[in-house]
Amino acid sequence: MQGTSLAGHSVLIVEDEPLIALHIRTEFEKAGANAITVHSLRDAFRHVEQDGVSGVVLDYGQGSQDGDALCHHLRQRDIPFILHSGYEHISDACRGGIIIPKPAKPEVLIEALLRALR
Amino acid sequence: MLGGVFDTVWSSVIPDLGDPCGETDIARNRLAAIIFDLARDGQLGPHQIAHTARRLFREAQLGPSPNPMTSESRVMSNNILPVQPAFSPQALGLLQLCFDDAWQEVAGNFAAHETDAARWKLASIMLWLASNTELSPTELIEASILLIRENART
Repeated sequence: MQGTSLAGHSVLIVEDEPLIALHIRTEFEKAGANAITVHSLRDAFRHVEQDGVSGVVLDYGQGSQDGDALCHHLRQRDIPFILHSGYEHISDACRGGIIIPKPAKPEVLIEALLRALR
Repeated sequence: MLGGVFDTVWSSVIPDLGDPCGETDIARNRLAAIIFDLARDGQLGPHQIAHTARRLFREAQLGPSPNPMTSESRVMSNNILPVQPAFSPQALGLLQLCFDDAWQEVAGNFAAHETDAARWKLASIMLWLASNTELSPTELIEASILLIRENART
């Protein structure tokens, strides 16, 4: 683990399962990030637009919504993102995202985002 | 039975908390963890649990026990470790099952507009308990239900 190597970074976690979201957030905070959880894509868009984020962990395919529009939005802004997904099929709109099969250990998500931020 | 013990002790320690802004949830979780730890082996009655829990809670709030080698203090030290390793996917899967069971039990207590906030609250409680105690899955569910109901009442 990289310790505080995410210090200074703001990480948005988009996840509708509260237990998973809070667990991931806790581990990103331990790694030094300012981690924020949201459980809807609408809130995710708002955070990206209003607050700015260094990177995003997206539960791809959450609920009945899909994350294609958010992926596109992030790509346009060169914001690195991780697709934490139990789905095998990821759409073209999400090219450029790092796909991590769900469930993953938080440290795997952290390392992946660190690599993307370098 | 433990709900009653919790209520009794909680009402008696509230004045000790001073300005509890932002700390109330942590204090509640801590007290619940103490009570469940004391009750788990079935050796203590309600009055003994309440008495001991009150003392251990106050020690935890005010500082270390003057006699840190007592068994009760060791119980307390297990409850307040601030940093724990991340849960494995398997452990998180088990926690998710506990969460689902607990939620099924309490979901009816919340109106539709309260559901989201209550689920996040329950998740927060369960993660805290799982990280800071050694409760069995059944005890974890019971403690979480107790705390989310307490939280809803206040």
